[in-house]
Amino acid sequence: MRSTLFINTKGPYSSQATRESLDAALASAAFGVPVGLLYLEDGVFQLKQGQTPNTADLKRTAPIFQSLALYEISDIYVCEEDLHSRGLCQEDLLIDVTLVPTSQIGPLLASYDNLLSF
Amino acid sequence: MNTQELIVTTSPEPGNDPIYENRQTTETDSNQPMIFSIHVITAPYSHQSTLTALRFCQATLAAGHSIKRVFFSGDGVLVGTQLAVPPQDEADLYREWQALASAHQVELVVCISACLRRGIINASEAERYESPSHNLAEGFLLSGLGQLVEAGLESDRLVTFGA
Repeated sequence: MRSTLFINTKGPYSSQATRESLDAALASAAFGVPVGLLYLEDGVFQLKQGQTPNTADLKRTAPIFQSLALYEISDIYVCEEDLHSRGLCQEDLLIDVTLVPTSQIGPLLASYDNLLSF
Repeated sequence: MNTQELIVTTSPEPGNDPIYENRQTTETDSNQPMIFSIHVITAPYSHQSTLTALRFCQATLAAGHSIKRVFFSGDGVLVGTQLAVPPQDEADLYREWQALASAHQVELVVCISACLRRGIINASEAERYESPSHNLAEGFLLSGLGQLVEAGLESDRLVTFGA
């Protein structure tokens, strides 16, 4: 089965990217595809805990992140430098992730068959 | 266009890092005809990538490869309208996609949830939602994300065109 890595680089609410990426990842998992999620640049903000988007009439995405485990999606990678440069650390995030240094992003991408960017 | 520039083919040196487990990417001889699928996520004319995706498809077919499916999601689905009339001295992306599809039996699939949000609708959905009209152009198929997943599984290469 060909594996797919979903690459996320956009902040959580400026576009539909967060939801579209998660929808595609869940659909892939339902097909039995080995799925990985990678968060780079402002994409790391998608994972920050304590968000209250409903105050701005936006849908919450936290429940989807918390349901990833039910779909057996556990390979969630965050670029270490991008996280720290935005004043965040692993404890600020909604779910357990694997921190990946920038130098290891290339080999990570190469280890998947398909890459989908959102 | 040198398609190899756009495509990750093989792993360089994953080493013994546990992140990479035993996953192996699929290697394909670049001289052999390959099956491509294309994923477009940007609106026509807002970004160059819709045009680039179209030219990439034409180049891919000209090079003897085949294209299984083009999947449009997000703002990309706006290419499915039959009502757009671009200026005559500009490339007509809408008709060019349709021409490509009919000449080469390429499936053009637009993501249904993205379409419903943005007002791209076919006759049966218009009936379902009691919409006053419908506007999905001929040659485009309204379907779900499973079509993107399947394209990724059944193609040698899946190439995304985004902003």
